[in-house]
Amino acid sequence: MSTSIPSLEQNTRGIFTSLLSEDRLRIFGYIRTLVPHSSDAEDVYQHVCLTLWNKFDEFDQERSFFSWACGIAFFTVCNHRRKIRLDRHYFDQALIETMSQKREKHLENFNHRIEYLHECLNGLNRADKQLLQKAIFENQSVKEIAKAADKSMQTLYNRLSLLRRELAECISRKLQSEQQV
Amino acid sequence: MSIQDLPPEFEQLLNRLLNSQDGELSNSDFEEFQNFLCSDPQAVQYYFEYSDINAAIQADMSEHLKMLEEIAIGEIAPEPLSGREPQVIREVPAERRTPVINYFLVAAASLMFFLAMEWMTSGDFLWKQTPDTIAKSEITDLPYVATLTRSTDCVWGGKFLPEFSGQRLLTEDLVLEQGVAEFRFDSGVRLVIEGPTKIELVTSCCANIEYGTVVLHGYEPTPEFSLVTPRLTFHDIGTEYGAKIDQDGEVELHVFEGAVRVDSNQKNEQFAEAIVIQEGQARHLKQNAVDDIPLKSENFKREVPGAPKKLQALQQELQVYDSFHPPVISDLEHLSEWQDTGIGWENPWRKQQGHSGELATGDSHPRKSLARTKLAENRMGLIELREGNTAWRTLEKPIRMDTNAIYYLSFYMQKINSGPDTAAEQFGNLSLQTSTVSAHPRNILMGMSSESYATLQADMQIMEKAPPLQTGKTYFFVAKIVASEKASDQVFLRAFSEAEAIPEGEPPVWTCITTPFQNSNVFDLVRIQVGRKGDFLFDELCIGTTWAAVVNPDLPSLVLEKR
Repeated sequence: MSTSIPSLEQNTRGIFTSLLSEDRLRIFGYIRTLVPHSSDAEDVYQHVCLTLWNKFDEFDQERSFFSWACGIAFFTVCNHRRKIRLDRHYFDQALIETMSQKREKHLENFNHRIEYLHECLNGLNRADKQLLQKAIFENQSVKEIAKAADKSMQTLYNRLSLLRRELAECISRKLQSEQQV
Repeated sequence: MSIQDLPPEFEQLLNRLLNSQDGELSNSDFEEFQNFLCSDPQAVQYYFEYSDINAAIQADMSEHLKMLEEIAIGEIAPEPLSGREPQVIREVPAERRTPVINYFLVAAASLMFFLAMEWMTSGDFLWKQTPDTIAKSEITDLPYVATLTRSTDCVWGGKFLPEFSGQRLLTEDLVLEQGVAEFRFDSGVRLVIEGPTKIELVTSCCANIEYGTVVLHGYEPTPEFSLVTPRLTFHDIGTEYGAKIDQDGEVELHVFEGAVRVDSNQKNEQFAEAIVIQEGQARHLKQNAVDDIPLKSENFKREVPGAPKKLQALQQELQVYDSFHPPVISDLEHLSEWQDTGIGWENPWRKQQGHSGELATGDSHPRKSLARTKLAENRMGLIELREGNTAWRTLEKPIRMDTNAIYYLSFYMQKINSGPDTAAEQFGNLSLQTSTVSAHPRNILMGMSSESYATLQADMQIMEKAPPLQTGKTYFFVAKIVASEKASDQVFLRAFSEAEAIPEGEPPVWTCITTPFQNSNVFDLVRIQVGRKGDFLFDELCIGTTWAAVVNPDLPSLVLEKR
């Protein structure tokens, strides 16, 4: 009775995992911009994953998995927004609705932009790479980095802002030149 | 265009938001940031781009998300069939542990710290703690009138937000902004509502709809159900009908089955007398006019969409299981050890409550089962308790009445012998108990009384239901335990005979229902008990969080395989 179930389930699971692993960064990126608090965004992401898996038999595989996931993520974000603690910041419902539509479209070329980001990062000098790596990649506090480097925190914050701006402009230039080719 | 074309405050706020992982802006700063996003599409664009840069620089983000997925879905995912994830920074420091190990270490350390603090401050662990008082504080005195039976893609507004299927609903306003939900009123009437809809549950036979779209499914034994809109009241007459109610009170009414009697809330010329709209008819009901319109059932969600959950998805909803299957069958089969099997238990079945002491006694029937379906070898077996036998076992996760939760419990039971005196000490039952000593333990108990009536006891209520259950016949008991933090608790019991089909969803009819009561107990023990002259078989005990989890006969096999 149960011999055929595991292989069928495993196969379904394999397809689901494959689709999710292709799009997990984009799905989280979608949620993260709608939920400003990072641990809340992770909670929402977990709810979304569970819902996606529970409803996977309803997913039409002819459609985009990412779009389907965004639809579910939108509802989950809206529901979460109503339940969160009072000390949390949350965007207005109208803004969430506006941003959710724009964000789904914005994430269409996500992988492309990330490739360009990699190229742009390679163009930075070593000190800047290290600052980004410590502050964002290793999640060290700017206070600690400033103390170790004997610099003021404000200097480092300013530098981080400038680096983000340079990276954004660099990616933008590459996208524009790609369109001109 | 550059970000510098926007006011410099926006870039500063954006960077501050990204620098602090948890969005630690002051309320006024966050408000200002939000205003930028609302007023300038370009600001939204930069917010997206900068967020992506931040996320992508965290090269272990994908691994971290994968770990979150595994926690959420509950299983280590197999390797993907293909992978196209971008990797940005590849210069990982040599001394850095893998992110997954890091996360687990941090999680484990946090858990240990939490448990230590818990133990130091309370002298016990959270799941062992009992509430200071039995009665809850701030209990609402609103009555329950309905149950949320199904919902799909729902976004709830308003003060009260239903959270899960099976939840009992009080007489309160509900605002469904999006999605489709179904309530079953305690009168048996079902109402499917589609967002946006605002509804007030008034009684089990009456609801007010301010606006929205509803489909009402009448229930034959129920007296007329009244659906009150701003201007009109609909009374169903063996009906299924759909109604769209505008904010201004105009209504489109489509009658799919039976008939609907329409009364005006304020008598006027058009509605001097009630009008009856018959099956197959539809009307546009305005304040002073009634227009015929074509019947369009396709304009309504007559049922909540969605297929039943797959077995895989149900796994986490089955928390406790015991098939009473002895791992080894002794030469004397009835002496086979059945006391330490199953999942979700802390210890074996014992004669007394606690973690030590003699194992419970009772005969094993390792090759038999009371289950309706054919079981796998590793689930065969049942137990026979008689002559005052009692068996206690401790749950890994207790049933908490001091929180908002729904629990379902099921088991098979058969009385196999009636002595000459059928009214004395021939009971058999299963109960939820607490290990805390209390003058009024207020346990939850279900089973058969000495007179063979189906019985349910909870709080100080004892319910028995005639006619008596039959000796030699197997009954499948399913209990639903509604626990509420700030509302009343309630227990429902259904005893299915062999001839009755077990529905995939909750039935509209129960054998016994308690009236709502207040209880904050933490039930950490299960007890099976048989009277001094009783002789009963027990089998297939399940405790879960949904109806499907405790009635689906295939689910325990899947869960056992996984373990």
